[in-house]
Amino acid sequence: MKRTVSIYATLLILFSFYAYACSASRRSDSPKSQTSYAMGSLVTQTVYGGDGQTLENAMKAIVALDDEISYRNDMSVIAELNENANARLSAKALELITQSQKLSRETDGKYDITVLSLVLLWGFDTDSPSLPDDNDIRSALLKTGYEKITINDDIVTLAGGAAVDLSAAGKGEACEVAVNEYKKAGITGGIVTVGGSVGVYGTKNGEKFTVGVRDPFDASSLLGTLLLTDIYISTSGSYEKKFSSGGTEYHHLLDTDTGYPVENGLISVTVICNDGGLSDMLASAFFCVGKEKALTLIGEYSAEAIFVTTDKHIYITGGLADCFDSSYGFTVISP
Amino acid sequence: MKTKLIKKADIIAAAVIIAAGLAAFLFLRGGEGRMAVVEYNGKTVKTIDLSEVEKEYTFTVNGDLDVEITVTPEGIRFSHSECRDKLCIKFGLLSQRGDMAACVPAKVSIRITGGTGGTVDGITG
Repeated sequence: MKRTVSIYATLLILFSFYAYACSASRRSDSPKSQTSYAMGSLVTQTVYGGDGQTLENAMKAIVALDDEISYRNDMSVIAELNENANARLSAKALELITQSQKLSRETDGKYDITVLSLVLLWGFDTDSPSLPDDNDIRSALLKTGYEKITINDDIVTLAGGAAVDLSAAGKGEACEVAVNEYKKAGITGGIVTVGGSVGVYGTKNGEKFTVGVRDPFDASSLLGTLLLTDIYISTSGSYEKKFSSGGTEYHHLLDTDTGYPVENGLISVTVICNDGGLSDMLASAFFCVGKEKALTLIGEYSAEAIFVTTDKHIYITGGLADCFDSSYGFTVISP
Repeated sequence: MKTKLIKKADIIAAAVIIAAGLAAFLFLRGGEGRMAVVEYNGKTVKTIDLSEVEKEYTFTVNGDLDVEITVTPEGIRFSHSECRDKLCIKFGLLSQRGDMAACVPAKVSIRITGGTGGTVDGITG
């Protein structure tokens, strides 16, 4: 009998180690990572239960999207539209322009994809942006305005010298095309970052993903973290692209009424929603309209947001209360 | 003669099983050291075991632009770059698993793997 007890004890020990070894093995389920560059940004991917081919396919999808919607690519439908003021668009470009125009109407044009002529004037697409002449800003403003875009089925027409730029949606949309590849591959989980946009799909060894939100006041620190799955996260901030001239700092998020950088007390806006391109568009739109107006739109898009003000206050919407963690104080707000 | 509760053979068997279990545990845990992986355009150019760094040194990576990287026992950072915005330098010291910084114009990135702490999977902003 006692002999039997010792055998059972031995078997129990054996089973315990076997169970631990299995769980340890599952915890370290060899994630595969890749670093690449597209859309003028760093692209990072980590997949769980996938292989190198999954990473390659996602990267190809991102590059294909960039080729399709970047105004910088002469072969893209957007370059064709800007060149001829008229083009038959691909389904993806049409979807993004339609969504953008709706958001422009809702923000009284504060979010506007025809802001390109202003962006080019300031040189924010180059290595050397500079303060333009006031008259040139006024001339560029005449070429902006979402009402200059006419959509007729899949034909889009631009009036008054307008040109469109889908950069405000591109990186978020890129995360979504990558996640679509993860879904196709049937992997258990994956995370993709394209510049400041992030897509999280599934789980990593049964756990949600932790997404850090960069501190707009200190690039080496995090403002906090979000524990998320199956969602997209994008951030727009005035700290990203900026330059100084005559002792004044100028950032790249331009006010379509004045032609100068938006000044509304915000330094960054992070948006979380279940559509990649939209998360990116909403981050820009919310930054440009300010916190109060943004809160009136958030319900319609089933989005959540983090607003950080220039005087270092953090506001998060109610849906994030359980998944946002920060060592800083923050206020939970309801739309 | 009284039968012993646990025979010598049982002790040896249990010891062997525990040793095997421990070996499996250590093997599966693996990669405990903090490694800094430096990449140019997604290809690894240098891997540094940060636990073996005793004193500060720098090296240059000839990416699309030249960047200088400084390694210390505490971590690794971009210390000089020919890029315009110097954002890579502003990322500061990378020391925990999952920390990452890149100089996009140079297409040079650094990430920390292994080690403890640091649970961030990706960063927005």
